[in-house]
Amino acid sequence: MTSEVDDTLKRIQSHKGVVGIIVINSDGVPIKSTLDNTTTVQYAALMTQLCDKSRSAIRDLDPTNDLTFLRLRSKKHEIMIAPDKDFILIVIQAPTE
Amino acid sequence: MFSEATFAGENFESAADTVKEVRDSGCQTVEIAVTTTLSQTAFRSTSEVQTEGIGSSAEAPAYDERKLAEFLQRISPPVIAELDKAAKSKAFTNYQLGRNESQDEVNQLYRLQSNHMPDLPNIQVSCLSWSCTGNVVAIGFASPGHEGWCVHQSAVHFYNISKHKLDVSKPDRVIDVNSCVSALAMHPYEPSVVALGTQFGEVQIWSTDKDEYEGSFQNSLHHKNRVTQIAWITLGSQLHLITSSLDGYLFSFKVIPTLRAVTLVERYLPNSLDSVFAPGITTFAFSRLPGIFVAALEGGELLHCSTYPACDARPRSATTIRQPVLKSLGKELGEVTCIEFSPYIDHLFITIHVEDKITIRSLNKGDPVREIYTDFTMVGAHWSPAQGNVVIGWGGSSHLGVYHFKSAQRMAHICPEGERPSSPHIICTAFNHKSPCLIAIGGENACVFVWEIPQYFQTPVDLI
Repeated sequence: MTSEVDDTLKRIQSHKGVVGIIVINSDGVPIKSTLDNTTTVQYAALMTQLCDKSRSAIRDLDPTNDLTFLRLRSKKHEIMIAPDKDFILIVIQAPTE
Repeated sequence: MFSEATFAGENFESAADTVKEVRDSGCQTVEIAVTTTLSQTAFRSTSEVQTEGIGSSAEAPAYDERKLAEFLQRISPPVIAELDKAAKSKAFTNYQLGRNESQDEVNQLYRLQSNHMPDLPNIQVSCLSWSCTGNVVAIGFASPGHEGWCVHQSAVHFYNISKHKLDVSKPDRVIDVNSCVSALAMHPYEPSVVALGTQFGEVQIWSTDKDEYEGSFQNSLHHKNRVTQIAWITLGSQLHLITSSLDGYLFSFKVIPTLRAVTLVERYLPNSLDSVFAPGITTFAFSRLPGIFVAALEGGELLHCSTYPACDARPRSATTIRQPVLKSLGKELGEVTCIEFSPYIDHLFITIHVEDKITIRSLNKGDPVREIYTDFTMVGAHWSPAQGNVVIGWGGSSHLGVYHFKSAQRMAHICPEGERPSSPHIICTAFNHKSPCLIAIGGENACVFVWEIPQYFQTPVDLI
């Protein structure tokens, strides 16, 4: 099972421009990461907050709706966040020139 | 009790060994193993005692591996699809951040002046327009002050500023026009189509990718006097070409570039007096409210008009002429040269009549909402494309003036630094709506300058 998880993460990591992947659990604790510890912890904390806030915004607008995917475009990166009930997958991609 | 006594001595014989047993023998004692070792005699031991139990924080958080595998299996295909999409996307290729710190200077990027200018007396740039792609600037030339019929041979020059090697003295395209060009507007989504109006009232449509295409205006009606303004306006769901003229009429054309079809849809006579000698329309501007526009007449009168409830202006006439006037919005003390509606507030617009002020008016009021007094004579003004309360004016100065609408204060002068004034006056300008930091400036001597200006200005409110 572990190899299955690692294989999937490797497959994502090998994609063009991907600089890091973090999987965090529902408590916001990182459980898998390809980044260094400090960066991982920081991303996990901030992205969990953002995800919660975004989800509440979507639900406040329409209680029958839910957040499925979040993409953030910054000057340096594109951050993709796939939230789920038990886990959140964060993929950081550097934009190709 | 004590008495002396003597006793005989006792002796004994010595018993000497008489026989000695002598025996040779080599005797080796038990073998003794001798080894040399280095030894540390001192022995120390150190031990620490953990008095509290080790916490579990260092341990990896527990999670359900099966659930995680399922989640990743499920989520990875769409994530990979998004990664591919983002990697290939060109959506942000030329995207510039609105508040880019680096863009706070004014630079003169180009000075466009052809070596082969139309042969016009006192030639000047009469109108400017950017293409919908923001790459091409069209420049119309005219001679000021016609006393009679215009017999000049003018032209429209097109420069593609995105070209790798732009030759500023050689336009990429030239259209020869049989009269002075008085108004110009490039199509809002056909990059090669341009509509122009001439001094003697002709409206022409050209496609710059074909030489021979000159619309199909041969059979349609022309204005009877100078075309003062041309604009592409969406009315309902259709795009119309609206032209105004000093003959007092406003024409609405439907243009289908692919079919080379141009048809006159409506004629409007915005004239509150409904006189036969109708005053000409000097300029007009459409609001974002459907069909609502303001027309300025010769003499300075401003009329609030609508294309929808327009009734027949001359019922007895053979042709249908619409009367679009809803009400008069007052009168300026001179010929209005510029009207522009706010991009943010539907009913607010600026008017300029050649004087040292910018007037801000509302469709809901007859009196001006605000008057901004300027330190030079204004010929025209634009609302800032990025800041709703900022107005940029130009006219009898070599620089553009930036004014704050609410406080009526001047915020900045825009002029490229380190350059001597490009032109003592600015006759016309055009914002590049694809790159709002680019503005084309029509100066004297038929020169056009392309300036890069800041998009955001520090307002008096920001300074507090």
